[in-house]
Amino acid sequence: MRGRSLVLGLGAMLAFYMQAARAQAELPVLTPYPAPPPTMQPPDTSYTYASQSYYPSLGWIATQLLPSPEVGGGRVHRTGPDGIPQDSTELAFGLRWQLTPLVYSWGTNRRITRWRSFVIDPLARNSGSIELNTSFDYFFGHLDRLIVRPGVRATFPLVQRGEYLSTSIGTSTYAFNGVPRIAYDAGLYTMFGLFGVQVTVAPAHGPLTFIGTFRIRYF
Amino acid sequence: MRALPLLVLGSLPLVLACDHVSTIRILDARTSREPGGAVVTDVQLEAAEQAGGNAGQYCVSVHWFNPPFDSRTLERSFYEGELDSTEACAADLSDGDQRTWRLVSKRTDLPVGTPARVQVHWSNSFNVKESVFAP
Repeated sequence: MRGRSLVLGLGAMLAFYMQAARAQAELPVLTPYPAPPPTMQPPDTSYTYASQSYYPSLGWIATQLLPSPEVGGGRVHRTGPDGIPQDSTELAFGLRWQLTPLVYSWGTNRRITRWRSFVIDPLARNSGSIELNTSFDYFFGHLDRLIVRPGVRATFPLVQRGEYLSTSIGTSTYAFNGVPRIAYDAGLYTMFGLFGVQVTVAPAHGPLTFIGTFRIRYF
Repeated sequence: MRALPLLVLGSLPLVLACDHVSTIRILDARTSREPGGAVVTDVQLEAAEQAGGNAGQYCVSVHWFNPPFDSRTLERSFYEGELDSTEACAADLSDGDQRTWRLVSKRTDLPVGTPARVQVHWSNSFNVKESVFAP
């Protein structure tokens, strides 16, 4: 009788433990408190960049063809067949086109190239640059000719890295009636350099001593 | 600020080009005939001087030839066989100045259609205008 009770007791205990083990297996996984910080992949610390690849697009060509209106003039001294001299200041309306074969910009990010050729983004020019440029001026009126004017010009930013306001100084040379001339220019530009005024002075050139240009230029 | 030395350097060739060049162009030459028969030639000149100063001594002249005149004839102050010539010299033109000279032929019997060469001569250089004929 005692042995039978022992067997029954052991069986009950076994059943209890099996039930407990099954219940243990079915318990939800408890999250610890406080929750551990999430583990993330370490950030990618490598840095890559691409140099810009500007090319002459249709838009660029269109903006290059857009002329800047200007007025040029100076003193004209005329003596007629009767020997009576007459002095007058004569003005002529003109149009200016510009090309920039080469620019070195010190205002752009140092990781990208600072050289530009022909296609010049406004930031590169107006944030501080020096350029080799060529102007083509056609004057009507008493001048009535095309003047090709290669030169050097430096542009300096004044406000907001030149996007709001920039200025320039430069010099250029040209031939007039087969005689080489030298001119100096200064300018003030706004709206990313899109609009500006430029004054060109050739002190030793009587008939074309000064040129005032309303410069329109984007690239 | 690094641009300034570059700008100065770039301008140096322009500044060094200081050999003052001058030239005198013939803008126009028109002929007419006086009642006495002399041919009047109005020659309009324009001077250019690199530094803006005086273009120096110059002489403007009209030379009449028997037709046909060979335009390849080398420019000279006086031509062998010319029918007539008139010359005026001065040093009154500065950079950009224009002057019209009235040159009257000495002969009054130059036939209609007689060819002429109008020329201006300064510092061993000539500028000429052809296709000028007696009216």
